[in-house]
Amino acid sequence: MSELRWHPLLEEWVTVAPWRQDRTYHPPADHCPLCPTRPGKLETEIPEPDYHIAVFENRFPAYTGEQGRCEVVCYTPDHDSSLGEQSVDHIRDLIEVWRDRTNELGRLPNVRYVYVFENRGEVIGVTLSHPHGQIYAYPFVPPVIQRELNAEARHMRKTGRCLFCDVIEGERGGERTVLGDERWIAFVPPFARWPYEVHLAPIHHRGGLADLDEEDDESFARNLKGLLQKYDRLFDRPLPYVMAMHQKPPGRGGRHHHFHVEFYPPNRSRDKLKYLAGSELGAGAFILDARAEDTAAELRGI
Amino acid sequence: MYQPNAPTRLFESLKTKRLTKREVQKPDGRYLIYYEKA
Repeated sequence: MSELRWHPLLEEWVTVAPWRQDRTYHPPADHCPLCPTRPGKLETEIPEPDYHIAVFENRFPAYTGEQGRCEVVCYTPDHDSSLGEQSVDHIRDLIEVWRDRTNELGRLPNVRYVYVFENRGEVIGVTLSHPHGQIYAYPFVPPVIQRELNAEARHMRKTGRCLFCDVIEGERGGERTVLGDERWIAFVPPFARWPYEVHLAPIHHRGGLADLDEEDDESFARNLKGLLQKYDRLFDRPLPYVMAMHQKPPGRGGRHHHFHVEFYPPNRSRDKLKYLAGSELGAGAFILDARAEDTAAELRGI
Repeated sequence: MYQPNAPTRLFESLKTKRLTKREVQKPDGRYLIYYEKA
């Protein structure tokens, strides 16, 4: 199992998992472990010759056993596809899978948070190019989520309202909106820390995937696809990103949390990346070269 | 060292009309779940 070490200055956990050093690193396409097993070929992580959506325990997990779980979610058997290229109907199925995994992992005895995410693109650090996401079931609430929960609780005490509902109210139909409908909205937040950062959120208060109804799911799938298509049109090539689902923690905590999905593409232009350097890493202070209003207009227009 | 969570029978049936799920155990003890169209 991993070793959890407490950082006393930042008051957060650091997870030490040395065996992850040996994880599969950029295998050739004909040895992709996330493809189905083709007749006569080497067996992959998925022994059957085809699948719709598959989930398995990560071979190199940061959390396992009593600590939690790390899962890999294979979106599609098509190696050369992407999340944004899936049909709305297929993305709705993925939402069902994410919800099912969230519910089941959230019931494990020591799990304090279930985090659904996707890393896309080599510059993000992806070692397998097959379209897939991951789910971490942590034995603690991760610090970014905890900070959000604390801010939401303070705002609720002060105003009696949901913090993110107030953020959305200020963004609807505004100059930072990228796309949306009556159920979901995507916008570049005024406080974005990445040039093309987008938050995708249900307009009505929902704590997590378990709280979405069928119309929410349909709108979520449509807007998620719409946003990812915009991202890939932005520079006429697949845009790397981190997709981070911020749900409420399992159980009774976080009742004021508003579910949303954050996207952080590292690009600041077609060929230039924003790096986390001295100010961001050493001082935690993000400095941005772009205005949210301008990047939102760019994304809205494509 | 990593020990897979075997055998894993923690998971309940799926509460959705869209998908069914089928869980299998890999030779090293890890679980694999196929989600299929209902």
